[in-house]
Amino acid sequence: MKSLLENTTLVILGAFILTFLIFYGIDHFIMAMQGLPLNFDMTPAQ
Amino acid sequence: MHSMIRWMLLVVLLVGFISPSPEAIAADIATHNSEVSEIAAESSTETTLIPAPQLKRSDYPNMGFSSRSVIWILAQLHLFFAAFVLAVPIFVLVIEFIGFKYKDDRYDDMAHEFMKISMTAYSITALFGGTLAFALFLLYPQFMAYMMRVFNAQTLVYAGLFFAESALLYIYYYGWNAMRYGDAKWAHLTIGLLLNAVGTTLLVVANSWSTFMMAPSGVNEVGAVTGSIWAIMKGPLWNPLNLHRVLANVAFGGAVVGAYAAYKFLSAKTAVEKAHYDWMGYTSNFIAILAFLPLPFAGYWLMAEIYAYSQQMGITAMGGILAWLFVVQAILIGTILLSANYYLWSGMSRCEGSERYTWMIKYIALVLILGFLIWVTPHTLILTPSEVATLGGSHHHTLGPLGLMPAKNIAVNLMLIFTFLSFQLYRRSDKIITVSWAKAGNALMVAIYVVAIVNIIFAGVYYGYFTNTVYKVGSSVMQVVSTLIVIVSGVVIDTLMFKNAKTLPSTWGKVTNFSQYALFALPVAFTWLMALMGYVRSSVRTHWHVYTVMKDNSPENYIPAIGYAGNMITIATVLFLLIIVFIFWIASLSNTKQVPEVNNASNC
Repeated sequence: MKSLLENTTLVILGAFILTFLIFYGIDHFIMAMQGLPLNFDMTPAQ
Repeated sequence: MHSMIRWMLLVVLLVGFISPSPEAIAADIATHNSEVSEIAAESSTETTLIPAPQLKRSDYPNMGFSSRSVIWILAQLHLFFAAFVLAVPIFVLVIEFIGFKYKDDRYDDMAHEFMKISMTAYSITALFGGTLAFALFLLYPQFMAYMMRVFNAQTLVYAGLFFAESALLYIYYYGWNAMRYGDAKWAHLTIGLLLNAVGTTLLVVANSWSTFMMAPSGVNEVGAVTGSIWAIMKGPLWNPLNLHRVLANVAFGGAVVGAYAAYKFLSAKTAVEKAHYDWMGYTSNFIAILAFLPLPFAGYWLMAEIYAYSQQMGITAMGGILAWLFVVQAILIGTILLSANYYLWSGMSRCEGSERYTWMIKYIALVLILGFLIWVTPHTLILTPSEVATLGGSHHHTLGPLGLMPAKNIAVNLMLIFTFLSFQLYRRSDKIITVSWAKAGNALMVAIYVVAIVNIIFAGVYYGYFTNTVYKVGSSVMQVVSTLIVIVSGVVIDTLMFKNAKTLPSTWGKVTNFSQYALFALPVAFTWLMALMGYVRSSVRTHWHVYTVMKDNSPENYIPAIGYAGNMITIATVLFLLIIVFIFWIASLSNTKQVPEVNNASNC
């Protein structure tokens, strides 16, 4: 784990993937909460 | 009729009293109770079902001057000062607590000095409040009579709260040094907490009057009271306005005390004084910006509730004559953000480690300027036929889309994110982070910025221009949440990363005089902005004193023209700023001591 954290490329890649997934989930959640569901590719489901 | 029934009741009671039979007494009491209940019910029905008065032109006193203009100026000035004196104790309490927790007298002294400024403003607030009340009763007697009937005893509660506020304020300020250390400090902090509780209650009570006029509740369609005072107060716009005003007041209060610090900095004679007021100015700017960052979201909530309550009212605000004022609003908010950022960039010169981040300033400035330009781009232009022909239509084919809300939402959110970036860079300037996970933490912070920015642009462009209206409106929440994630995660990540960080030397007082002018620009723009948006909020009622319930039949029952409104707003702003300069002077005067004259005779 410690060696993984020292690899700059992996750290940056990991941070971006994690953040992207969090925002993706939040976007779906926020729109669904308003009764505006999204498809997998973020297009409106209605 | 009632008096006759009461007399009959009295006679019945007397007769019953004379009667020795217990059954007869019980029967009489029952009869009495039921009749009293009937009277009470009748009386209550009569009171609650009195409709709002339908006023004629002759019901308004003609004093030979514009009644609305007088009320406008007085109400605006009262609001400015009230906002200031209610906001200052909020952040003063926080600063005092920080000083107490970290045993740092500098915080305590600064908090005390902030309070000193607000003390003079407090009496001016009361003076304007009293004058406003007299003017309202004089110029709009029927309207005030109706408001008194609706809010009834709540107005006395307000007066009672005002007494409590005054008492707590004086104890808090004058008892500062008497309760400075140990357990006594806890007592002082508790008084400060009570002061803020009472102050905030005063604010929300007064807000209920404004929101009742915009979106009445607890009354029927003709304005007769049908609900309790709580039903009247908790109208649909009450809480959005409460939140908006609390945040705006803190931002405004921070900006005004920041100007005081700048004034003292520029007139300081010694390096120690300069250092103190530089730090005070920085703290004030920090408070103003921290409260300002979530303010657009509170404003968004308020506008959404206005639309939900009455689409017509929402369209009047944002789609009609008043829409142009949102362009002026953009200019003022742009001024606030540019000034605040400029102050932060200038302040970076205090810290030795700031060279690591200065290269980013030009990019932040570029985003702020682009965002500002998009925000001020109007959708509809006032064009001559030849201009329309040259343009090829009523909208510019390239710049036209920038006049729509999706573009403005992108601009505003990016401006807020980049302002936070300036703030974060400033905080990092004097630190060398030592935690083992610094690389991962920084990578995560960069990723959050990049993904949030992409998300905001994607949501604005895709849902704003290529999907239907509901998705367009709904996606703005995605944008707001993205901005809030950046701000909250930035604060959390930095707090964790600053643990055991090495602090590089910072020299307070080592800023340019020019940076202090940014601190003057902030309260000027804030004051103007508050007056401008207050005019919009009040004007959406159009020709109603109380929307849909009580018509305004005065000679000035129309939305004033923008030019006239601009003059009124400017007069109120200039008057406030002049009085504030007077307050600063008074605050400085209390520190001035005359040197006793040397007695020549005794010297000889």
